[in-house]
Amino acid sequence: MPKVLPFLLILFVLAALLRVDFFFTVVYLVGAVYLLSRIWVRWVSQKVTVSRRFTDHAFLGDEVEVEVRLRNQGWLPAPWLSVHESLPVQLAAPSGIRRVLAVGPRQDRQLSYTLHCRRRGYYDVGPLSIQIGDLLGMARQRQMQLESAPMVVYPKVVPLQALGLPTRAPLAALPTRSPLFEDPTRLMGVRDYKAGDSPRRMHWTATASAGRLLVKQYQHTVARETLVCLDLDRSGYGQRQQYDASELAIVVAASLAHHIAVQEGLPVGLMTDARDPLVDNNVRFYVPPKEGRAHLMQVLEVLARAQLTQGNPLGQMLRRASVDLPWGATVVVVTGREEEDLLDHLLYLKRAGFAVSLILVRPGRTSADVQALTGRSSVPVHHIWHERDMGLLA
Amino acid sequence: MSEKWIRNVLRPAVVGTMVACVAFGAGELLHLAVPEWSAIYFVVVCVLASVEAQYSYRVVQERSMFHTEVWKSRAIELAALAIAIKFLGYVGWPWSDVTADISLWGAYPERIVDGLTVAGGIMGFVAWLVSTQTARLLQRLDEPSEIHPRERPAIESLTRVFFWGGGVLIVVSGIARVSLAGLLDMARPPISGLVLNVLVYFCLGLFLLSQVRWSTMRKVWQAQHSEVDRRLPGQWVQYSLVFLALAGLLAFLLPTRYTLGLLDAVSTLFGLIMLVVSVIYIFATYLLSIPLMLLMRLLGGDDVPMERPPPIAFPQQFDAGRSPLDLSLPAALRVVLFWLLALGIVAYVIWGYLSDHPQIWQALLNLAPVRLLRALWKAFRDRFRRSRAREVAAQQAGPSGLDVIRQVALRQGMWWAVRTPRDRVLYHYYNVLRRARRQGFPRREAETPDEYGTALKPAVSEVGGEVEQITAAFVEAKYSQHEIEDEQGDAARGWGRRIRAELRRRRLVRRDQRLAK
Repeated sequence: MPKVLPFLLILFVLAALLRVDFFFTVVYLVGAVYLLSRIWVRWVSQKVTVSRRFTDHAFLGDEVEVEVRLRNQGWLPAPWLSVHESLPVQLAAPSGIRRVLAVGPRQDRQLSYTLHCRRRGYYDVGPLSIQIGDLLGMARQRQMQLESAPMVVYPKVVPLQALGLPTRAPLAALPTRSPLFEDPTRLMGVRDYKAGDSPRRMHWTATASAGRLLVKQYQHTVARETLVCLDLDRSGYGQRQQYDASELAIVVAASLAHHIAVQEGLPVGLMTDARDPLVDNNVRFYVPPKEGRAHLMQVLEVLARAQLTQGNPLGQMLRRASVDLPWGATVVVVTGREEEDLLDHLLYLKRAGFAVSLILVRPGRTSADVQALTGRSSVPVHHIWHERDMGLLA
Repeated sequence: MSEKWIRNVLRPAVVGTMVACVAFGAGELLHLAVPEWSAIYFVVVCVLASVEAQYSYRVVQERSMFHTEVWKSRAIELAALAIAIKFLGYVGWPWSDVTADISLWGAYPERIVDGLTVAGGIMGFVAWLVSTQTARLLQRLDEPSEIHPRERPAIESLTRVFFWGGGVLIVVSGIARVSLAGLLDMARPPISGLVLNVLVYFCLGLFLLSQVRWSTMRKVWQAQHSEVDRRLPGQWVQYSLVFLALAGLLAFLLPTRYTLGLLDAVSTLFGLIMLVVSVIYIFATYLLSIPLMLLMRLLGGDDVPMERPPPIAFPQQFDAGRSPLDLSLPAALRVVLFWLLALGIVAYVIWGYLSDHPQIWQALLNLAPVRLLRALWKAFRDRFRRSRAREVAAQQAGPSGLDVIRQVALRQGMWWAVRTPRDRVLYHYYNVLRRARRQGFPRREAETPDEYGTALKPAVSEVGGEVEQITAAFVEAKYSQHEIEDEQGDAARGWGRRIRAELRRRRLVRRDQRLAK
């Protein structure tokens, strides 16, 4: 910024010495330019507001339009605004938007750009910084900032035709042909009383109405609460293909959750130890099994955010998962490791009454002993090498 | 407006015109000293030198000449310029006189370098140097700043050149108007009228600064890969012109004369303040005297004659105090405004300078007299704070005698004791208590407000909610420290009225029942 003040003082002294009226006018002109420039910039910086509008949740492959709205609420124009929006490199190239423009009095200007959701994740869109300056360089440039806004890109969901995961729990929602378990909350109809029927099954109202003994008939159901346990520990995947394998594991978990919640309409939950970029720390994500699309989105949001972590053993997580699950629920473990320890934990879960299934994503070389153990353990094991292999889950 | 046009035409033309403005001022001064010399001659010489300097600098830069080539080129350039300056001196001469003068050069070499040529040569050379420097700075605007890491930013240097040129222009134009002898005479009257070349210089200079600023910023934005709105260049020019026009309008509206000195102006300002104070005083006295007269008449009976209050003696004319000049009020205001502006400029300049140089500010603060003044101010401030703290402590310690009287009056339902919203809440609650007591629902000494409210509610079940609300408002007003809002006072009045109306209705019902029996 040029130093105008000393010159202004010199001009003023000269004008006062020479006593020529017009020279004072010149001093006023320079002084007015200097002062008004500063006042103008200060005023405009208080009157310009900025807002950002976009869909903050998107699926992989989506293109999201972001609108940045600059509004000048004052009666003076903003001579120039240099706008810089920082963007994550995964969503936009180049990694920022830079525009320079003027905003007239009481005028709105909109800047728009597109985010390409090429990778799942939790991103910060912004911050957006604005520089405001004057026309003659007399005033210091002022800065404004709009905080960054979060953006979630869900992982890819691969459609599955059917999912043959084992199940054996009573007291739940899945109708079945097996007459072993009946749900007393699901009345299917009535039938005539037979000797040996429990008096508690009598439908007294219908009996009174029909004039003969009738008993209630319940729907036969089994429980199918499914918890997907996703291993996001670095050691769970091979060194060479760590990123690809872990991303594939996330796609598998998302696709499973989607299929169970949407296609089968059953409760699904998620548990994983991962690094959360939101808090920049390791977090245990636990989404208890529930039904519905809204719940599925919650699961997908966690899968969008979760990142690889270190030093979080899978076994500990599996034991913790068994605490909150009802007996007979299904536990699906998605991991890249095929180790003896893991099989021990799976067998423990199986003995505890859970239906257990193991999905191995690009596993490394496994020892013959472990393979033999896996074969004897009666835990269904699926191998996934590519997305197309997910059809094998059906 | 294309960049090529700006570089090739606009900038050289503006710089040339600005040089011409300064040259005209200097030419006027020289004309004052040597009346035969024309100011126009110097203007033409300087413009020629300026335009030549700007274009030759660009040619040198574009052809990437080496040192020797540059020196050779410069020598040829200056020689040509000197010849041009010499021959420009012949403009207006008859051709025969020109040839006769040239024929005498051999015999009298001193005729080649006469006074006019020397003066023109010096001014032309200065104009050439300044224009070359300006061209260099203008070219630097288009170059990356990394090329000149140790140099001051080009825009700053250009601003300095502009202001120095303006200073020189004001000096030479001013001296040309007041003459050297007049400089020392401080009692001379001020000179009015427009000084066109000064006006043109500053207007063009500010416009050039705006254009230079645009070039600088555009370079920065290009380096940042910013996308510049295609309408911005046009808007920049438009806003610059409007802004300069408004600043110019403001400058022309402000007073430029100071018919009174600073101390006289202070005296005038003091006189103005005293005038306002005396008018207020006389008017207040007049208003006060009317009821006093009426009171005296009432006390003294009809025998005391009613005297009319004296007429208001407003000052008929503003007295300018010690001013030797007889000033009217607008003139005095103009003078005061002028000096306020002048002092404001000086104060702002000093403040701005000290803000930029905190070390000087610190050194000033460490001066002995300043330290003494600061110590005095601190002592005064501490004393004021202590007295204020004492007042607050006294308030917190307990109510004064007057407050106790007001509290008692409030309990007795005396409206004059109500001063604050808190008092209003208390006043309406106590009114309810008095009415309820008369109706046979007295509040016992040991009863808390909530207990009393609970006891009263069944008796006035229609307004049970109001009883709860006024009780809560009373507890808040009585026992809280925070501010009580006006709205709470209004609400308490409404609740109190409804409860009292209900109590009154119940009394009438009972009376009717008694009468019926």
